[in-house]
Amino acid sequence: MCGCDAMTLQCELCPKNCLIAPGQSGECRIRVNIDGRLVAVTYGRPCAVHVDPIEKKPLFHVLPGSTILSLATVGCNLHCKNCQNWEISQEDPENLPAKELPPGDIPGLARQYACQSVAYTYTEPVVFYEYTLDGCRQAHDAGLRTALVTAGYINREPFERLAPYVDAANIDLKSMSGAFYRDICEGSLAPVLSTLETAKAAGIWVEVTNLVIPTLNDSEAELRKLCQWVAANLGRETPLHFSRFHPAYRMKNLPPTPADTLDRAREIARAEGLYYVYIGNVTREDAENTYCSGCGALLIERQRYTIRENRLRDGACPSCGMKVHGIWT
Amino acid sequence: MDIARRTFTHMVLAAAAAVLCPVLRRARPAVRRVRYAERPHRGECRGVPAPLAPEETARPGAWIG
Repeated sequence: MCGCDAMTLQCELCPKNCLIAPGQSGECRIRVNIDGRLVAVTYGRPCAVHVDPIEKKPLFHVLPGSTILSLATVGCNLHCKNCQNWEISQEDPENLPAKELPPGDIPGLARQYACQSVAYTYTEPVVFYEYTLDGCRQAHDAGLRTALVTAGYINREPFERLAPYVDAANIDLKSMSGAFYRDICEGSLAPVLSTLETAKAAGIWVEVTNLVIPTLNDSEAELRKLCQWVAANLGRETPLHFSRFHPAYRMKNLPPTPADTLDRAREIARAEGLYYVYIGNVTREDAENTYCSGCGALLIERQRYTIRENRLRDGACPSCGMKVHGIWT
Repeated sequence: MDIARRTFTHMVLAAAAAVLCPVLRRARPAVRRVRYAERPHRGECRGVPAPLAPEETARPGAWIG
């Protein structure tokens, strides 16, 4: 015996660094201390298995018009009051249906449904880290692309270990305010910025999403600060998605984001020099189109999750020949 | 006078800490730091078993051009 039977564990996967007593789980609900062993109890047991348009992630500069096998298990290490997927992110794994899908079966399922890539999404792929890691390895070995849709709340070392197996990531940058992360999400800002920089440095294709919530993170000063940070630290070529808030979970007291606020956010981002700025969760004629950063020509025309027209030629603008950043083949 | 009182207070606190700390240390549970979780053994997975039937959401548009 190792004498670990009654040992408390400290999980060092994410910045929460939860102390987990025997029989208990971390804040994520799925990393459980079983007799002194830290066990990921949703490993190979996703609660959501969908075949989505890749535009739904959103990943606008990765294989446009393709489908992506999208997986999630229960659990999240943040507790955002506005969570859109709280039914699965903020629930105990015992209470929800779970399918049996070991990592080795993921590539076959993706091929069966004609998916060119696999995403770990909906909840938080950080908390089911081992499943994400093994799944990404298997998908890579099978020649598939891999993607994360994440809040980026993870310690640096585990993220660096995962990064070689990830092609693309849409990372939430919820706010540039530490107080927002503390009060709304029960997290902190610095680890998220670190993850964004680490992902970029590791060669992952990064797109950033900012959910614009009325009165909480929609001031011009904050939007400008966010755009400046993205341009300076991730590069002007990083696609930035401003997403419309809808009242949900514990934040039903605020109205949906006015479309004008999203237009203003996009103007600020463009003024700060970002090449590719999109507006999501709102029906606008040109909200999700891609334009050439050189000549301004319309390159990809989107309507919701549909590609109406794709004029890219070998990843470049057909008018001026300017290379468009992204993963196109 | 103030200096004498403060010094005396510090001495008392230091003595109390010297006495109590080993006790507190002994009372603290053992903690093992772990970064990566183990894959679950049979029977350790949690969730209500459900059939594997991927749900196809809205179809994306085909490539044009």
